[in-house]
Amino acid sequence: MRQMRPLPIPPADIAETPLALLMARVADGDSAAFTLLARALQGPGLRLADRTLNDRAGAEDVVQVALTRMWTMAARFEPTRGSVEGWFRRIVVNLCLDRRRSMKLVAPLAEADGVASSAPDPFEAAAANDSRARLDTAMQSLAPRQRAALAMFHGDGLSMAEIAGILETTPKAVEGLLGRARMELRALIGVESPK
Amino acid sequence: MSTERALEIIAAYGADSARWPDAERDVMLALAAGDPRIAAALDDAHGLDALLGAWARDVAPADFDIAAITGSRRVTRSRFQVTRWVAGGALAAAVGAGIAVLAPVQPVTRPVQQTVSTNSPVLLATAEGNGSGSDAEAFAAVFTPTVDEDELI
Repeated sequence: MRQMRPLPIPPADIAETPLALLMARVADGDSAAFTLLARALQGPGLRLADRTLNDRAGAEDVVQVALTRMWTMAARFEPTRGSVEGWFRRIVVNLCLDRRRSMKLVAPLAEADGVASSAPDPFEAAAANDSRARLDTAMQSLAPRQRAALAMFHGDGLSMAEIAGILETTPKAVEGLLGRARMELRALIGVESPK
Repeated sequence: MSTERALEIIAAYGADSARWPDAERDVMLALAAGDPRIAAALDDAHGLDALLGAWARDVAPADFDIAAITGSRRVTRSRFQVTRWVAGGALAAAVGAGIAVLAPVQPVTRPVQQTVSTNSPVLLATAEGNGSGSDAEAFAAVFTPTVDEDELI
C-alpha cells in the first residue's frame, strides 16, 4: 500500500513545531526542518560534549558529527522509544565516549594545587574564580561518563532515569556515578559552603 | 530511612530537595531538621551544587555548518526498510544454507518396522544419489549475493 506523504508545514508555523514533528519532517528529507532542529539541539549538544570531553575543539567536532548523523540516519529515529532530545544526547555521549576511548588523556592532578586566582579585586570574587579553576582542573581526573552524568544532572536538569536511558544503565547506577563523582570533586577542590 | 541513606542521597543529588527522589523527600526533610550530620552534609552540598551548575551551563556557543550537513547523503526510509529486509533475507539464507549443508551428513533410515524382522535396517539413498546436484552447487546457489547483499557485506 502506498504511504501518504505528510503535508508541508507553513514556514510561519515551523518555528513553533515540536521537535518530534520536525524530526518526522527531517526523516522525509526536509532540510528547513533540519535547520530548525539543529539550531534547537546544537547548544545543549555542545554543552554536553564540551563537559564530557573537557575539550572544546573535540566537542565541536562531536556535535558536527552528531548533527550529520541525525540528518543521514533520521529514518532510524523511532518516536516510540524516546524523545528527539534524548536520541540526540545519546548520539553525542556515545561519540564522546568513543573518542575518549581512542585517545587516553592524562591530566596531572598536582596542577590543581598550583592554580592561583587571577582576579585582582574583592576576596570573594578571587575565591570564586579560584574554586572554579580548581573545579576545571579536578574535572580532568573524572571519567567521561561521570562528567556526562554531572553535566546532564546539573546543567540540563535531567532525572536519574533520563540520564540512565542515555548512558544505557540503571537509575541506581547513575546515582552511584554521581555520588562518587561529587565525592572525588569535594576531595580535590575542598569545597566550602557558601555562607 | 537511615541517616546513611539520607547522606547517600545528598551525596548524589545535592542539597536541592526538589531533585531528591519523590518517595524519599518528606522523610529526608524531617530527618534533616533533627540530625546534625544531615544538616552539615546539606550545608556542604550547597557550595558544590552552585559550582557544578555554573560549570555545566557556562559553555560558549558555536556556529555549525548546517548547510554542509544537509548536502550529505541520507539513508532514506525506503532504503532503510529495504536494508532491513535484505538483512533478514540474508540471515534466513544463511540458516537455510546451514541446514542444506548439514542435512546430507545425517543418514536417513527407513521408518522402524512395527513387525519383527530378521533383516538389518537398510540405508536410503543420500542427497548425492538423488540426482539433485552436488553440495557445492547447492551451496553456491544459496550464497550468491545480490547487489544489495554485497553492499551489506
